[in-house]
Order: sequence, then C-alpha cells, then structure tokens
Amino acid sequence: MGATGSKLEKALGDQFPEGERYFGLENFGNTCYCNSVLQALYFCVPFREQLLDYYSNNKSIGDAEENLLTCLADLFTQISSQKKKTGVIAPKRFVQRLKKQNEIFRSYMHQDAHEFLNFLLNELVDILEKEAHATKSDAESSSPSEKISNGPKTGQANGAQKEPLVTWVHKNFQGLLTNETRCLRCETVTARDETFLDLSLDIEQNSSITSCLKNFSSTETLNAEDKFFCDKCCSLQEAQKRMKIKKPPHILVIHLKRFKYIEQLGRNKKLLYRVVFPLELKLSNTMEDADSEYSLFAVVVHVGSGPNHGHYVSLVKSHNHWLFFDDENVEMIDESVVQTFFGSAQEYSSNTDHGYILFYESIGTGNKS
Amino acid sequence: MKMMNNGYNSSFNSNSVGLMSNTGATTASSSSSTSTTNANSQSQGLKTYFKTPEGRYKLHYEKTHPPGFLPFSHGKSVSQVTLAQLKDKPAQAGPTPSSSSSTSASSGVRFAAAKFLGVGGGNGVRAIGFAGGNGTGKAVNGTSRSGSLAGSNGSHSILNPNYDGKGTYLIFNVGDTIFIGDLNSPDKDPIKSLHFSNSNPVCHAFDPEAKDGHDLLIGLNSGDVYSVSLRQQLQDVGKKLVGAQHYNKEGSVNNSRCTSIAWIPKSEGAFVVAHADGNLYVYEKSKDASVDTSFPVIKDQTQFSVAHARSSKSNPIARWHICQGSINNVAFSTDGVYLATVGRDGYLRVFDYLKEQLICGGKSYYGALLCCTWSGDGKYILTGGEDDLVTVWSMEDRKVVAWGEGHNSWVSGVAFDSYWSSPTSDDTEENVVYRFGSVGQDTQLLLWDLSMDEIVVPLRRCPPGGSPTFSTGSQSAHWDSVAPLGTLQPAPCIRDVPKLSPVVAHRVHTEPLSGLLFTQESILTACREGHVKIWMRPSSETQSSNSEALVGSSTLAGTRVGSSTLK
Repeated sequence: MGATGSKLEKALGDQFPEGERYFGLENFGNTCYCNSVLQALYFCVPFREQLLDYYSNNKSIGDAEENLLTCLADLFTQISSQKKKTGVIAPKRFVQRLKKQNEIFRSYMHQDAHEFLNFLLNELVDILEKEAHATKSDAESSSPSEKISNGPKTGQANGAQKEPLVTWVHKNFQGLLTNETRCLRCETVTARDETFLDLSLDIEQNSSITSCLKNFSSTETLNAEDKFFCDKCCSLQEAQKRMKIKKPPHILVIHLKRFKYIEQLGRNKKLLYRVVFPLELKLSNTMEDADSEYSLFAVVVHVGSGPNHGHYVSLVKSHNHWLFFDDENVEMIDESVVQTFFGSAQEYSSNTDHGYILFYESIGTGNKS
Repeated sequence: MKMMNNGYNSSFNSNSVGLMSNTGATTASSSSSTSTTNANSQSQGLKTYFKTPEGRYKLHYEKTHPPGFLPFSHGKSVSQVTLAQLKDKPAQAGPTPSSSSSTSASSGVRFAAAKFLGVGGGNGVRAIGFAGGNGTGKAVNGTSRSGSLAGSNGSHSILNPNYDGKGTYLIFNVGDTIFIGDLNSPDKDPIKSLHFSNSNPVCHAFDPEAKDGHDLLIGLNSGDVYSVSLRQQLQDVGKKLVGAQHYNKEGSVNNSRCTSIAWIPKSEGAFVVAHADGNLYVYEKSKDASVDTSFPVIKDQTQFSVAHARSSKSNPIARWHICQGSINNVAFSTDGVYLATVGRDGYLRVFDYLKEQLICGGKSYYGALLCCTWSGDGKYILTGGEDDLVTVWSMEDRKVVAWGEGHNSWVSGVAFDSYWSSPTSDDTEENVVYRFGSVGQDTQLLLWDLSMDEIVVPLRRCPPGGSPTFSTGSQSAHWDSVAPLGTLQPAPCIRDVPKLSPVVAHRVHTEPLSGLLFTQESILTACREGHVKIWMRPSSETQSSNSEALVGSSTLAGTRVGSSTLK
C-alpha cells in the first residue's frame, strides 16, 4: 500500500490544492457498493462542505446520539483532516452503523450501490427533518423566510406548516418533475409534481444518456387496460402522459437501469449495453427558460457480468483531474479512460466494467439555487 | 472518427451539387423523429438495403480485416477509413496543371467502367454510358487487374512486383495494422496489411495529386507520423512500411496521440497533424524529417498561438496551439483557404490557414465535438459530437443555422454528398439543396436534405411577464446579427436553432460507427471495429444523365457549386 500511496502522491504532484485528500477506503467484505458511493459523495464538493459545516455547527450542541449522518460526517472529517495527502481509511463506524440501521445491508451479500445511495440520502433527510422539528418546537419565533435547515444554529424550518422542509441535502440533490396527463377527450391537462433525488433511466443498446433522457420525457399514450381517470370527464379516458423536469437539481444523479428483471429467466439480468455519457450535459426537456448545463464529476462503476455478484469502483473528478477509486486503491487516470466504462456493443463481451450511477453538477447559468 | 475523401473526389468531380429544389425535409419541429427511435434492438437483423426518396441503396460489398486477426495488441483504437485512387504511373514529363487534370478525369472514367464490368453488367445502362464516354479501351486493363487481384485471394506473397497498382483502394486501421482493400473487388479480405510494432496507427490521409510519390500519411497513437507511397506499399510483399519518411520520431516533438491528419490542398506536399494535447503541427514532406524542431513553451494554454520553426531546414515547420484538450478532427476547405478544427472543448474553430488567424467558430450544444467537414462550395461546415446533434454552421453568418436531430447517440462522422442531385430539380441557384449524411455510435446512418429556403427560423419567445403570444413575429436573438469576425460563439439555446429531421435513418452495422464517405456510386460506412460496408446508390435516370457531366475538371476534396474556381 505504501508504494501505491507514494506513487499516487508523485502523480498528484503540485497540481492539486493543499487541502485536498485522496484516501482509499478499506473493504469489510463486500462493502465496495458503499465505498464507491462514499467516494462519489466525498468529491461532491457542495455536499461535503455542507455536511462538514453542519457537523461543526452541531458538535457544540451536546453529544447528540450517533446516527448515519454523524457517522458520515465523522468519516468525511477524518479524511479531510489527514496529515498525508493519500492513504487508506477504514470506514468502520459508518459501515457498522449502516448495518445496524438497515438489515438489508447487514449480510455479506453483494448489495446494490444505487439502493445504498438512495437509502443514505433519504436517511440523511429524515435525520435533518427530525432535528429541525425538534428545534422548531423549541423556538417558534424564527424567521419564516429562511428555508434552509443548515443545523439548529443557522437554519430554521420555514414558517409554512404544510410545506415540506428543504434541507441542505434537498438543496443539493432534489429536483422537481411534473407529470402531465392530457385527456384525449376533453383535452384537459392534469399536472402533478413530484420531487426526486435521482433519475432512474431505462437504457437501450448503443444509445447515449441524452437519448435515455429524451425517452424518459417522451410522450406515452395511456389506453386499453391502462386508461386514465379524468376528473373532468368523470370516467376512464385515453390520455397522453409525459414527464418533464420542472426544476433541475443542482446535483443531477442518473441511475442507469442495468439490472432488469427478465421474466423468462425469473431473475435479474445485467444489461451490458453500451451507453455513452458525455462529460458535459444539458437538460433540454426542462420547463425553465435557459438550458441548464452540467459537468460530470463522478461515476459509480459496476464490474461484473451478473447482477448478484461483482464489484463496484468509482471514477471521480477533482480539480480537473480524474481519479480511479477501487476500495483502498487510488490511481490517477486520464480523462479518456472514462470512455472505457461505457459498456459493450456486443451481447457477450469481456468488458464488464460499466458506468452505473452518474453524478453531474450544475455549472450552467440556468440554475437558480 | 472520420474519413478523408479527397482522394476519391478529385477524380470524380461533380459540378452538380444540388442546384435544384426539393420537397424538403426541413422542419422546425422539436419533437423527436419517430423513424429513428426503434432501431436499436440487437436481435433485429440488419437489412441489406434502405429506401430513400431517390430509390433503394443496396449493400454491395463488405470489407473487413481477415478472420482470426487479433487487433488489440496495443489496446483498442477506432477504425477510420480513407479512400485512395491510384492513377497510371506518373508520366515521365513533369505534370503540368492541364495534363494532371486530364489524367485524373480519364482515370475516373476508366475506374468507373472497370467497376461496372466487374459487377457483371448489373448496371447495364450506366456501363454503356461510360464506355461511350471513355473510348480509350484501357478499361479492360483495369478490369483484368482487379480480377487477378481477387484471384490471388489476398495472399501478399504472390503480388506482382511490377504491378502498377492503379485502382481505388480502401485504407483502414484496425489495432496495430493498416489494411488496404480493393474497393472494386467483391473480396471481403484486404489485399495488403501493414503492421506497426510499436504503436497503433490511428489516422491516415491520401493525396491523389502528390507529386513525388509520397501520397499516404499515417499518424500513430504514439504521435509518430509516416509518409509513404501507396503504390510502393502495394508492390512490396512484406508487412512493413517501405520507403517511409518518419516524422516526430518516438514523439520527439510531441508525444501525445495523433488524432487527425490532412494534406493541405494546393500546397505541394504540406500536411498537418493534430494531436490529443490540443496542438497541430505543419510539415513539409520535402524537408528533412530527421532535423527536429523545438518550439517555445506555450505561455497560455487557453489562447490560440502559432510558433514557427527557427530553422528553415527543420520539420515540422510550425506548431499551432489551438485549444485545451484534444483536437478531435480537422478539415480543410476545398480551396485550402480555411482550416476547421473540432475538439474536446466542444468548439468548432475556423482559421484562415495562410494568415494563421481565427475567423470564427462556436460551441456545441454540449460536450465534445468529434467530427467536421466542409460543403464543396465552402459555405457550410457540418459538425457532429457528444450532444447527439449534427450541427450545420454557416460561414456567411458565422454561426449555427440548423441542428439535425435524429441520432440516439454521439455523432461520429459527417459528410456532404457532392454527387447527389435533387430528384425534383429546377436548376435555380437561389434554392440550393444540399444532401449530407451522418453516422453515429447508435449504429445508424442518417441522410439529410438541407435547403436554406425551407429552414424555419424560430420566433423570439415572449419576454418573461409579457403576453403569452408569438404574434410579435420577430426572430430570436440568435438570428439578429452576423457574429463578429474572429470570435467564438457560445452554445445557442435549444429553442433558438431550427431543427432538421433526417430523410432516412438506417441501422447499418451492429457496432458503433466511426465514419462515412460518399463516392459517385456508393456510400461507405465504417464501424469502430474495422468493418466497412459499401452501399450502391439507386440506379436512376437522373444519375446516369448527370454522370457524363461529372467527368471533367478536377478539384480536390469536393466540389464547388456554381462557377468553378480552378487555378
């Protein structure tokens, strides 16, 4: 390990700022799903900074009980406060807490990285909301305009009782979809908004993320068995339905549905499809005026040909350089290496390293956050 | 990612680029084209033809590397294709412009006649037409040559050393090897392979007008560059380059990957090599390659700069620092005046080559640009890239004038079809219709018709808070002015650019595509793994009536609409 560490340090040279740390994470038996996502989140700079901020602001308020949020903050603090630039850290407390919290992750079985990310983000939101409620009942006389809950010290729950709390986790990851249904009889459009923390996209062979996003927003006709109950017509009607992104998130997390249930097989199958993802992306199917532009900063990669085994690694962009994280190993890679994780154009291939979760950060002018 | 087609076009010059009107497929609709959505099922068999308004294109020949060839000894690389036409051996007298022009024209006829005889009379009408126009009797030589080659079954050891090599060849790289196939032979296997032991060949270019025999350029992954005589390679029995000039040895000048290589039109043996680090070098093949040049350190990586070699003897003679990140493709306008580059940073840049000045350019919608090409008349540039769009740039307006929507993945190759003429011709110069094609990583070939008359310019959207009508009728800001000279335009907003829909979308390979090019008889498509398909054009009256007019004066790499500007 020491050799790899110094090699990386040499490669890093002086191209990286003083404060940045690149640490591998020890694997505790099939915890690569967790390590790969943690690296992606660590290098999601606004998320990391707000987590560390929150943590430092909250530490003073007595020793609150341990939860996933404090464990994650502990881990990130531990990484960022290392003296050395590179090395290995054991995310022991975090993994223990995770297993305690959720029995799915307790076994040594292979886990799904997307499920873990989803669980983690929702858990963080829950913890923040609970804390905000607790403080709110403590001090009702807070400014109603402040919508962010950045810990009990700085942020406060907003005044409106019904409106859901917008935590800093929401501020980073939450976007708003609108589900438009147009009744083909009376032409009435029913719009229903729903929030999301990530987008799960169906994939096709030899397609691009752009194309998958387009399909996600494409118009679907509801008919036959699947008619729509129109409130105006008071009956089931044929309708057209489409999903539009109403408010794009600051951090766009795209999950590729590579694990598909195949009815004939009676089990999940991994789709090895080649799905190309650009390093820059725009969402053109939004309802906002300007097209918001995103830049890719992390990719969680699934390695293996089947859904029930395999390995997870991650690619991360930090200060305009790409790094490869494989549990405790960290390497610098050329940007062009990212292309080797697109998938394979053939049904059977020796290439089984596929981009699975993509993390894009908004850089565009269109984003107002 | 692209192909070079200057070799072919020079002999099959066409003065007939769409001076005609068309029913037109240009719409401003932003909805995705339904004709292209369902083409991706892997199990679905590939059709051996596709229909267009002008008729059926049929799969004619396929070319690929020999079975059992293991292409990945130096890692993967993307196959590209160059077409090369070899004429008769150069005449003893020095070629004057007039004689060179007639040579190329007659060899064009001979080539075409040989082709049709080889097919076996399948195109009777056209073959007769050519025989009448030719009348030299040399066509028979061409046919027997290609026949004997096919008979040799691709075995290199029995190539005739006196073999004069005239014909049209397909040059493509796979792994560590350059393969050369005979375009007019039904044989799938190449007739020649050139093996590179140190690095993969990744790009190549052919100059049919080369004076001293060195007509083929090969750029390597290591940054090394070779110039050779194609004829000499064909005559040799070995698997190594013979008589090669070696430039940038072991990457001594620049050790980043070659990405694109091009002869400079009308320059007497000068060429440019683009690299993955954003630099482009100018070489002159007459100069000694062994004298290496060192160039000053680039002060500002973000700025365009040109540095000339200090010694007049050295090669390369100049370095252009163009952008940060890779230059992915370069293309010269037919007259050699302008150089277009596209790269990782998503910008198209157009330079006045001789003045070494940036003229104009602009950003993709998003992501890197992968390929670019000029219209024969120099009025339009096509680019394709990671935004899945085919972008049409106007040199006159110095900005994007249309976006082609229809690919489901990155666009890896674009080309104008200079041989195509609109079936509904009215011969007015005002209403020019351009036909172009694009190929993508979605394995599809798309054909497009561009008629500037029929482009619908989107209306300016109402300002926020204004009345929700479009009645003002003013065009969006993107259209208000011509971009100033020497500036790069930001990415336009999706709503501001007119959209084109493809005339045809056809899934041509099972692998992502890397390039396409048009010849008088066919469309060539190539995939990244090194399979090439040749699609014969529909045999229609319109085309055969045009074909005699096509054999005439020669320009390099494409054609001019309207008056010819031959020098």
